[in-house]
Amino acid sequence: MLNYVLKRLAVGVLVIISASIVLFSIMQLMPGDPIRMVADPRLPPHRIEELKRAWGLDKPAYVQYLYWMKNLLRGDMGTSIATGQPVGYLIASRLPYTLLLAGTAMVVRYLIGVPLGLIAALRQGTKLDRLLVMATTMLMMIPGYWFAILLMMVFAIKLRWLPISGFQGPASLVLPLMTMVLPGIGGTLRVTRSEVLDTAREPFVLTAHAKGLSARAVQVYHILRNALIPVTVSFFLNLPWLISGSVIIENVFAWPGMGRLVWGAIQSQDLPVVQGVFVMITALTVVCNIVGDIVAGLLDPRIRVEIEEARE
Amino acid sequence: MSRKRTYLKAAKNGMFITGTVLFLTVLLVAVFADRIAPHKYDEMNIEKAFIPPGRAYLFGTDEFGRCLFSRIIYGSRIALKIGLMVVAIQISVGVSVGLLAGYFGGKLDMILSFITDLTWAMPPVVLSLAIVTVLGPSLERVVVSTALVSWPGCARMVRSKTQSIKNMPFVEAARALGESDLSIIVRYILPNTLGIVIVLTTLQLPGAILSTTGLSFLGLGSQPPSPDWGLILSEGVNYVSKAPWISIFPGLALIYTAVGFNLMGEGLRDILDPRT
Amino acid sequence: MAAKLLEVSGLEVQFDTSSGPVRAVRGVSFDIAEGEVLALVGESGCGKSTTALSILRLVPRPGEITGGRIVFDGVNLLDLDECSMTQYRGKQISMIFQNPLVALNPVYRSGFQVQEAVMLDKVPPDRAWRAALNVLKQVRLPDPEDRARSYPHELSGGMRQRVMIGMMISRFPRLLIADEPTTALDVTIQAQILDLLDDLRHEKRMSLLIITHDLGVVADIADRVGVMYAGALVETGDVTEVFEKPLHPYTQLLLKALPRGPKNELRLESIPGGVPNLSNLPPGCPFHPRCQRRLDICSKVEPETLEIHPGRTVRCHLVGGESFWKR
Repeated sequence: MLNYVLKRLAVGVLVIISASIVLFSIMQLMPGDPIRMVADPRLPPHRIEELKRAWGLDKPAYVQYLYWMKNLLRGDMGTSIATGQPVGYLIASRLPYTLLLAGTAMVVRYLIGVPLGLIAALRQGTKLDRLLVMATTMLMMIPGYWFAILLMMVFAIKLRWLPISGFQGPASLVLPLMTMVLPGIGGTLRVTRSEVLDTAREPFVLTAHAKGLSARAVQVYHILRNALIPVTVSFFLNLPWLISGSVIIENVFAWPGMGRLVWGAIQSQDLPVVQGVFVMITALTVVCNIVGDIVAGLLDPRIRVEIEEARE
Repeated sequence: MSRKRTYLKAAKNGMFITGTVLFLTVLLVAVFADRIAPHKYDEMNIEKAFIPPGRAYLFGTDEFGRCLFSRIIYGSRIALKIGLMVVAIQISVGVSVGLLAGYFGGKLDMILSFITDLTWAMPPVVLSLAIVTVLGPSLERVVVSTALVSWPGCARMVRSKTQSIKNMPFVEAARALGESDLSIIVRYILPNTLGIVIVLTTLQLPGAILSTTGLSFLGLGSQPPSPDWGLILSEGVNYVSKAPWISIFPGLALIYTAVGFNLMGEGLRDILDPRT
Repeated sequence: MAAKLLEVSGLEVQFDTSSGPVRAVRGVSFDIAEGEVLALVGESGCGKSTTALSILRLVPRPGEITGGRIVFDGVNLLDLDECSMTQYRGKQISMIFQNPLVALNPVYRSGFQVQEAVMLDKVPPDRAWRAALNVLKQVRLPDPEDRARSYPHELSGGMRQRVMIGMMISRFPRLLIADEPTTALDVTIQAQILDLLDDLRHEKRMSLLIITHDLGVVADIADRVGVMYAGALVETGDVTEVFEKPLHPYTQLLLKALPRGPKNELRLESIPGGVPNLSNLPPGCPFHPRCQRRLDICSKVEPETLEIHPGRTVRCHLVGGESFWKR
């Protein structure tokens, strides 16, 4: 198991490095000179050359990349051009809000989507099944930011039940949460439904019936128990999508998370902050994938053995 | 499955027909936008700002007195343009990578699969944000950057399909007759993966359109006075209580288009599924 | 003659497909006496597995039992509600399947899967676990204590099938159905499993219904045999009688092909002509396109089942009628 985790981690690190190279290449596309954007335009040319040397910008691109990477590994993600604060600090102060919103949204989505998926699967082919699938699919087609505005109109402006934006305690969480949960239910419902239906066709389900288990016991101990493995794994694989998707929603509700941070940074051309958030979200994606793989291994003994066999 | 039977199934598939009708209306509106729209999309008339929907202005007017109905009509062109670009990039990259990896296997497969996994791990919205920060906002950049991270699903699907087809008797026979790899890929394997690619792309289209207009909504894509539905929406946000119609109608237009593509995709999946 | 434990008569099973209903089992009748071993033989797709699943009322959708009677110990199982049927499964009649790797739940330890069955008889968990170990010993699983804690994929094919058999005999059923119990196994293991089944049925006084395409298995273990073709039973009788004097041309072909196969095993597919498509059966006798002795009538009228003497039936125009008795 340990070896398996280490292997996954190694691949994950490779992904993060490659992603950072992609990002670094994009930065190289930037027209003009990064120094001129930061420095006082009145500086004499030789001062600018000095600054360039000081920042390592006279070196070839790969050396610059290595510098950047070295700093990143020491936890130094650079300094915000706009505020002068360290990027690491900025991200650390915003990350909890993003994780709170995306994490809660994911949990609520699964709490609603999985039971609905089970109902749809158990009532396969009935009107209820078709209705559930149809309705949740239509929810997926609603643009989140539009839905957000609609919710604000109704609950914050008309009814004045909930705060319109920002973070002022748990009540502020309600509208962003609704916006992020509703479109996703359809996906969760579909995964659950199809996993349950696929499992129900497995030969071991026939065995369970043949040895005399009641229909209910077969459903719970043999169909659900097995079908929920891929469903649980999908939870972790989908989490990163929700985190990067929350960028837009955070801005609609002025939610003080990383999405808000990055948007502000773009407005002020604050490149170090954008880089930092990008690397952070990629790293989160990789971590979620690894956690998903490990959870799959814990829940499914077959994968556990593959892992152990892979050691040889 | 015979072609005739496919048409027959298509004619009986309610989802596919509804989806196609929705899509065709959007297409017609986009093509004939000049004739349908009563005004130009950027025609301002400050005296007529914030007129609610009614006789004179079907969807009302915005802060500059622009006719929202006309703007949304013209906006359909942008939505379809986004769709077309995403499909083109996604299919050309996804299909090529999938075909090459699946057909040749070995080292090439390993490298391409790693690139696919890597792209899969890239946060799509944030990549677009990075590109826009560096190069400045533009619809094309947003669309390209969205499409450049959305092909892995297509590549994986094509790869596994290719792997299953490449050892089939008719492919073996073609190889024995001395056909080149390229000709085998183009003439035998590509046509057989097309169905699955079309279904997948159609199903991913709504998501691509919604996230791209989302970036326009943030001000990173289309710039004023473009009638991009996402942009109109963001212009309406400031007047949510005063003129809610500015925000409502572009959203409805987006849903209409997204539902159209989705139903078409789901219908196609049923139709091309040999089991049904 | 021993009392009949199971009597199946006129069994009909249909599958609803997109191209209309398909009759997978067409008027099958047979019986099994207490302690008897009956084998159903036929090519894949002839309806023998569906027939077996019908007895437990476990025909998977879109299949459905549309007619006939399945009387077990005086009760027509087709009249029972689902809840009462559960009382029969595993307790009175149980079934082992062809491929034990997929027929055992991969996420549970093999011992638990036996224990789970035992606990259905209101046995507390610790006693059920001991009973499970005991039963695994009876099916000659090596190191039962260790193996019981293994997951199915950690066992060999033969061991998995032993776990499967253990699970299915743990509640002392009176009838055990074995659907191709040895097909997925190595040749040496096949013989061991057959020996085990044979011993168990003597020890436990079980009746056995074996579904197989392997005439070698039939010769090894069965008392009586039923030959199925295209969803119908074409010939039944005592194994010795059928092997010595087969009446149906299909059975004759099967037996003629027998010595050629390696070690009694016969691939029925070696008979010329293809397996008939159940959704599109030829008119008349379904076997006539492959039959070397067909008469004019064979392509027009499907023969009736003829009882030659109790327990010996055949379904062929060549047998019965005047031509047969004159010969």
